[in-house]
Order: sequence, then structure tokens, then C-alpha cells
Amino acid sequence: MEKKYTKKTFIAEVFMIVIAIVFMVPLYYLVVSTFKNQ
Amino acid sequence: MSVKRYLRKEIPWVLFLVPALLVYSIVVIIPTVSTLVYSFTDYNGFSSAFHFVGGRNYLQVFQNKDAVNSITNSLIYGVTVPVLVTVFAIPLALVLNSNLKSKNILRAVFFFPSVISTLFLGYIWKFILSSSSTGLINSLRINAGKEILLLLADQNMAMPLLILITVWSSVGWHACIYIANLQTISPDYYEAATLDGASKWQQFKSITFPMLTPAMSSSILLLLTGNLKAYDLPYALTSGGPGTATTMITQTIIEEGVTSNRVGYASAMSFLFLIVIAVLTVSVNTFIAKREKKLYE
Repeated sequence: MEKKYTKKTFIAEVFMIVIAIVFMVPLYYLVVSTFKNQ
Repeated sequence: MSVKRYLRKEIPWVLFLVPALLVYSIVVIIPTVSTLVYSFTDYNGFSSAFHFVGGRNYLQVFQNKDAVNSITNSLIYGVTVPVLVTVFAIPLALVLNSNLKSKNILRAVFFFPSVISTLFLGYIWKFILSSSSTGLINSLRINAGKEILLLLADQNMAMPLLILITVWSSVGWHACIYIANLQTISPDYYEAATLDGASKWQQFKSITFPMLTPAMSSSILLLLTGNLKAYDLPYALTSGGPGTATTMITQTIIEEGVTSNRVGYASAMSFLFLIVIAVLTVSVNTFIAKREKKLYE
């Protein structure tokens, strides 16, 4: 049974993308710190 | 069947077990038995002249406040992390298993922290949560004209923050275990439940959650055994501090056995903790196995 892509799904998608961005913030610092000198 | 014929039939199978049994003996059985033997001696790690001291090392573990504190810390950490990871991983798996267009990218994002070495993760978070003005959070607070927060240097905040970081790094990986299990649940159950007028919550409570038991058993056991003996992340993040707020039993064992050369005492601590882990794991396993058995009845 294929689920419909509703307005609710879109809101959930946006919410999850925001959470994913927050989730990745520490990893951004991992990348940044590898390009820094002492 | 004669004994000779029976042996000729069975011996090849037994021989297949020999390599695995040999490796298991060298890696697990012999070190465990040696630890048990050393725990009753005053062995210092290098001198061959050591003496039997009976249960003195075990008594010392209970008399040493730091050892009891580190066992308590390990238990708090080792039990809280599996609970929190399960609480967050199941809803995350449900969302990542839905019909979101970005679900594949989201799965990769949430899984990513599990790929990186925990030591690196510890150092990144140490930089973010540093109590000095160079820490990310504190430098943002200074720019906003606010006071510096102690964060990892605060006795009451260090353990919750450590647990939070472990949950952050493990939730994606355990959500993947739940996603794999969710994909095995037949959609027929949901179709039948919808026809019967069951709400989404009722469907989760009566179909999804019980059907997730096999994944839950693997996930919880992995988390429990992994976090009770955690060493790398707590050490990289706080080195056991402030004071002894995040000192785990593994760190105390290494300090006593390697730095202080008290191998006998460290062995007693290891053996006591082995018993604690075994009791906890067997209890949780029995509870989950009962639930699993109920599921297929």
C-alpha cells in the first residue's frame, strides 16, 4: 500500500532536515579543525 | 550403530570446532582465568614473586570510595544510554522508514557519527563544550554578552552531557537496526488494523512495538555490553573529571593496574565488574527472550 505524500509529510520532512542540520553541527567542526594549523 | 562408526561420523564435526575453540581459549578463557587467579594475589605486573592474599583485594575494592564511585558511574552510564538510545532510535526509525523524499540522505546523516572514531568525537565535543572562552558554546555566549558556563567542568553537568553525546553518536546506528526490522513487518497487519478502525497510536502499540522485539533485543544487548565497559569516549571528553564525576570502572582498572602497578587489585575490580555485567546482561536477555517467545506464541 503506497502512502500518499501529504502536507503533514512535508512538514515532517522539513522538521527532520532541520534536526539533521543540528545533528551535523559537531561534524562540521571536525572538518573545519582538520584544515586548521596549530 | 557401533561406537567406532559413531565416532567416525561425529569426529569431523568436532574437529571443525577446534580452531574456534582454540582462538576463544587464547583470547577469552585463559585471560579470564588468569585475572581470577591474579585477583587473589599481590601481583604487580612484572615481578614473578607474588603471594596469595586471599580476598584482601576484593575487600579493598568495597572499602575504596573511588572504586565504588567508578562502578556506580559505569552502571549509571551503562544503563541510561541503552534506555535513551532506544527511546530516540525507535521514533527516528519510524520517521526514516516513512515516505519522506529525503529519507536516504537523512539515514546517512544520522548514521554518520557511528563511523567516526569515538576518540575524535570526544575531542570535537570537548572543543564545543569547553569551559574556557575558546569553547564554541562559551565563545557564542561571550559574544552575546552572557556569562561563561562550566559545562564539562561542572560536577553535575558532566555525566548528563557525556550520556547525551553517547546517545547522539549511537542513535543513528541503532535506528538502522530498527529500520531493518520495520521493513520485515508485513503491511497486511496495518491494512487489517486500518480496516478495523485502529488509530496510528493503536497500530504502533499493538503491531509495530511488539514486532520490533527482535531488533530491540540485539540493540539493547549491544548497547548494554558496549557502554558498561566504555572507556574511550569518557576518557577523551573529560578524562574522568571533574574530580571523579565521570570516572568509569575501566579507567580505574587501567590506572590501578598499569599506572600504579597493582595488577592483583585491578584484577579483583575487573572480576567483580565482570560479574555485574554478566548478571545485568543475563537478566535483560532473559526478559527480552520471554517477550520474544510471547510474540511467536
